[in-house]
Amino acid sequence: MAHKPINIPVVTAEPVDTDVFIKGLWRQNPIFVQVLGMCPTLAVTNSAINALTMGLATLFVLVMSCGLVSLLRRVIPHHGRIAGFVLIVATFVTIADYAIQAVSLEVHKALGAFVSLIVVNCIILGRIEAFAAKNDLKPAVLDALGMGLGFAAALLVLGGVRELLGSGSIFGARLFGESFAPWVVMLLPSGGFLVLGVLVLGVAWLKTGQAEESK
Amino acid sequence: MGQAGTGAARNGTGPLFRTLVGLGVVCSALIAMVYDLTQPLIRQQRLEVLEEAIFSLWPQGRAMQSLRVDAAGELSRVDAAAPTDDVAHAVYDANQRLLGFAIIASGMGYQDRIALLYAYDAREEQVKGIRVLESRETPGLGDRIGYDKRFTASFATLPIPLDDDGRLMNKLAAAKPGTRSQPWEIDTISGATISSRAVVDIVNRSAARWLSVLREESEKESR
Repeated sequence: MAHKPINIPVVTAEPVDTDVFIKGLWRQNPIFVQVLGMCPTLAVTNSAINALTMGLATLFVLVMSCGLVSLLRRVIPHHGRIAGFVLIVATFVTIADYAIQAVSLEVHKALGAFVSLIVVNCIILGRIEAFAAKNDLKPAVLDALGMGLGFAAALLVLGGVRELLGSGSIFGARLFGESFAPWVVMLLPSGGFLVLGVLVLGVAWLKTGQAEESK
Repeated sequence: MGQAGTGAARNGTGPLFRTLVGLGVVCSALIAMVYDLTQPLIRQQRLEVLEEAIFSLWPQGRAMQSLRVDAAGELSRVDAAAPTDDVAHAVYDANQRLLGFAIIASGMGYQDRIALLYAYDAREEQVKGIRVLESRETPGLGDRIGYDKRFTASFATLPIPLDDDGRLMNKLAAAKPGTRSQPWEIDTISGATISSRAVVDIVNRSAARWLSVLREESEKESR
């Protein structure tokens, strides 16, 4: 019986795909680990609903753009790729912008210019250039899903903590009585830096602990 | 996994031009399609937000008519309006009797433009309430113009009489917190002085433009 040639891959695709998906959620979380996309992160996380909407809008744009770039990667000429990528990203951002307006004008107003500014979010162009433009559709979409969900979850944690301390509520539902004095600073940009700093520190501490345990 | 690079072999301007034009056409078509789908929903949302604000100022209100005033001071009726347009709304009760008006006014605040809606009762010559429609004032400070009870209560029954020529007898004035001594003065919010002064200025400018024509309209309706 003839042996298989050694250059045929024997590892199945699942573990690689799972890793591609999971790395954005924790190991390479765009906010807590890569510290990317700080502009929307600090600006719109003054309430949980704003943070969630921004997270979902970015997730949509990231997945759709990475998917389309992956499909068109052999069509878009290398030297004009950035223009092509930005065109694709801007299209999905415009679609997300209309969709948010159609669902809730109040949230759209609260997010202001930051929905349009998803076009220049470095996570999106970063994932397209570093991953989607070099990979097939499935891994490209999985990578975008992982990174997008990691981004959205991180925004939601930040928004939740800031709203809880700054307004005494979560998604607008008041949790404390009238006697609660809100920490207004948490709703201001300085509060964003404070909470983000503490969370980045906490994640780094957890990751260090994990690394030491695995040694 | 696929190949590295994005069609690295093609380097002329022709393929680049064709690709970008093609992408542009497809993207524009996609945007146009989504625009067509979402516009009715967005218009509906705007109208709902506006109606909710108007009927919260006039709880007995059941119907409304949008009005516009031209440069010559002539009133005309318009179909529907976006919340930020320079329009007023005549509000009617269930018996089609004119209750009063809800006027949209806007101007610069501390951070950005503030759009607000205030109720005007032409018979009693009073402002009957105020709602902030749009503001990006500092959360926790300037944005209190929308929910600070003492500030909004100052506009609940605020006399704003006109003289025989239709000019404001007393312009509204912003007073330091707790120093209000005249009926036309508004207590500003501590920590939100600029935003509360901006609201007073916006109402003053809008009142100068609207109140005399709306008083005439109200007199016509009651005849």
